[in-house]
Amino acid sequence: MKILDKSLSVWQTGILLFILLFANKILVLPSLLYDGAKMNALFIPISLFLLEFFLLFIFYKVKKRFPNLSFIEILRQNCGKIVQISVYVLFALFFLCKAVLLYNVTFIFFRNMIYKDSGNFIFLFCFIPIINHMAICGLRAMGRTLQLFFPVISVITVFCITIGCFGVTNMPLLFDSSVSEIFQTAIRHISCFGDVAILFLFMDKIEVKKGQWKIIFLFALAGAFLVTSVITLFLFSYNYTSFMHSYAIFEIMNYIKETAGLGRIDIISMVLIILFAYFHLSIYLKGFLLAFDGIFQKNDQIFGVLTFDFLFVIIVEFFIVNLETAVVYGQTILPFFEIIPFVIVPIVCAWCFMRRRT
Amino acid sequence: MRYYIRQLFKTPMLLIFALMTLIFGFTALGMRAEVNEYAVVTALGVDMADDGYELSFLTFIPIAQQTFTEQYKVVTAKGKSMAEAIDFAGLRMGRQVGLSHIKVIVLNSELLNDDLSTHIDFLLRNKQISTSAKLVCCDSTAKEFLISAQKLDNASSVKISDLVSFNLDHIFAADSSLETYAKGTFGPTGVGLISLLHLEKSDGEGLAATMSDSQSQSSGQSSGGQETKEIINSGDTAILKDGKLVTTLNADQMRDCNFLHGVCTICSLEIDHFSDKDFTDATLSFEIFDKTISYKVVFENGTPIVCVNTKLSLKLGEVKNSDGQITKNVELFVISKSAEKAIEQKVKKYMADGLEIMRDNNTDIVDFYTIIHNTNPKAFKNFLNSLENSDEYLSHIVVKASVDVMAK
Repeated sequence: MKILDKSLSVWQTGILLFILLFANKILVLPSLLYDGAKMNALFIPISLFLLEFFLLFIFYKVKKRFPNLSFIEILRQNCGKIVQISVYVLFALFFLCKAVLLYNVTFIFFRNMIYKDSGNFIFLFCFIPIINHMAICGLRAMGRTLQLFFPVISVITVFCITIGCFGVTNMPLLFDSSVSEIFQTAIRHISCFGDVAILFLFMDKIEVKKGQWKIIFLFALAGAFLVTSVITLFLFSYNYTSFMHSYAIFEIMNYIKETAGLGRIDIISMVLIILFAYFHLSIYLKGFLLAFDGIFQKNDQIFGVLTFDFLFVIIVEFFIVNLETAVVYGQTILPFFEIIPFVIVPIVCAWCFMRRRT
Repeated sequence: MRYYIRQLFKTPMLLIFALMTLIFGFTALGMRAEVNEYAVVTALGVDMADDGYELSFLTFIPIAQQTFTEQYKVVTAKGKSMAEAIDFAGLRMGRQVGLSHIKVIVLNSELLNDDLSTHIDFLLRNKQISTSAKLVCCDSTAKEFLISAQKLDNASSVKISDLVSFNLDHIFAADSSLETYAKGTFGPTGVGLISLLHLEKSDGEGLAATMSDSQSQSSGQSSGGQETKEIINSGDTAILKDGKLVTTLNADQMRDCNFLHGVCTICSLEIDHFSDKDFTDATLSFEIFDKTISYKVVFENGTPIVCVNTKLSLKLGEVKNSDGQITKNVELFVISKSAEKAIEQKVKKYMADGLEIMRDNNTDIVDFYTIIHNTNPKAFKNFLNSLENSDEYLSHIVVKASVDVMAK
């Protein structure tokens, strides 16, 4: 099963980044943020997106400095093989763990809302073949699929946000939590961020011509803005009862159900959630495969896919079986993995820059 | 054929698609229709029982018929907890109790005597029940209320949920749903509002529903023949603080409070004994089209002064002149300075009365707490610390009202 990854255009990269920035942020996160920092939770996505943009800026600098090299080559040339393999092992773990969290939250959402009698097995059966196929087909195919679905995703997202605006009725109590509470909550939920790191894994496949960087940054900005809007609207709509409402993008559509008599129009947000889930999981699997490839230097992706599927099913089926364990896992274990994008990658990149200069 | 089979094996996704179709297709054939599996509950009534709760379910039973009327049935079940009562109700109906279509939750007023938050905890936690479901309280048993509502739902297109939906905009009432109640109770003031509906013998005031003998008996009535009862929404509202009943306000008192509040715009305003060059000792009724309220908070010597500015857009709707009918075109009526002053005084009186009600009951219905806090959190904290009992801040703040009147 050898499929060579062809290059990604700037538009495709931008769209991939736009979609990836929604991962793990529009369902359970806003409610958990309120639980920790009350209405000041608004500042958490903004500050964590700043970190994300810092990572994107590092990527921009690295890509400018080493336009044709892959991240493996950069690491090998400047830090040695051991560092390269270690970083890639961490990357593989990072994407596997993030995929587990994302899958669990999505599965629990659908089980609670629609498929009450469905088990994990049926969901895995629906997800795994498609995400495997999308990841194996390569970056170009994934990029084109994302391009195809991007108008649908962006229109539904904007629609949900517009509907959400009607639900904001009263001004909640602002500045009610301390700086330490905001900081602690941000650290506890940092695991929902750091997705930009995937760009490093296929940086040599991205074709950026002069003046095209702004497209990537604009898509990233648009994604961050929409995610922040969803979180803000959710917090302003539900404020003191935010902790009772676990699924933000779905809940902000509830306004329609109450007043307009249009029935279950909130199902539109479910379409968005399912599309996001498929794309996010495929991108995470792709990230895992690229990292796996960097560790074992195998061109045959079937080993990577089977390893991912095996570990994924084991973790999902036996360790993280409900929303409570998923939340505990996301709040206590996953934040440690964020050291990879926010600490290790910047340090390694800084080291490469310094070596290059000397 | 061989070509297609070869293609199928060359494309694993096609194989998976075929496999999925086979598995899910056959599984679907063996499944029960959801109509036979779920009972669709549209309203839930909660009464206290000897040892727990008695829940009543206004249940929609789908049957094939050529009329557009829907068939409803009230099913009741008792249990030590609400969850247990729902389990027993499911047993009685032979179906799972589907709660996701509940639009109204009716509480027996007895529940307000205790801490309501403990009683409705199940309703707030349950993921199936929409928090936009209207929460109302009735002076009879919830079961009896739902039996009347059942007749109403069967006989007309007016649903019991529609009856209280209008409260959202009306100056004489308060919007009350699970969500608004929880927001108020969990908010800084702890004040939650619940609409009070009355079930009374028919005298033509409200929406009537005729109850037959058997239904009367089932709901504990002993009267013979047919009895007509009416569900009346007169705007009465129960005010709860931290889940406990503080007082009950009537429609006029709610209007007074709502004049300080940004919500509720639909109302009329009456000025008595008004005289100017056009009117002599007249009673003028104005229709208010829009009511915009803005708050400004300043601190003077550490005390918050809340300036409430109300902008009213209104139109003269009715005139009762003691000197006979007015022959001027009221459509072109321009509110004179004296009329403006009279309206201003009237609205200020309503506001003052509203504030007094809130102070007397120590219930911040308007949520001045948030308004003052958001202006200057530090100064407000200092102010609260300076009070002997910080919970009684409402009696120590100064409220200044101003009214701008505009003719539509």
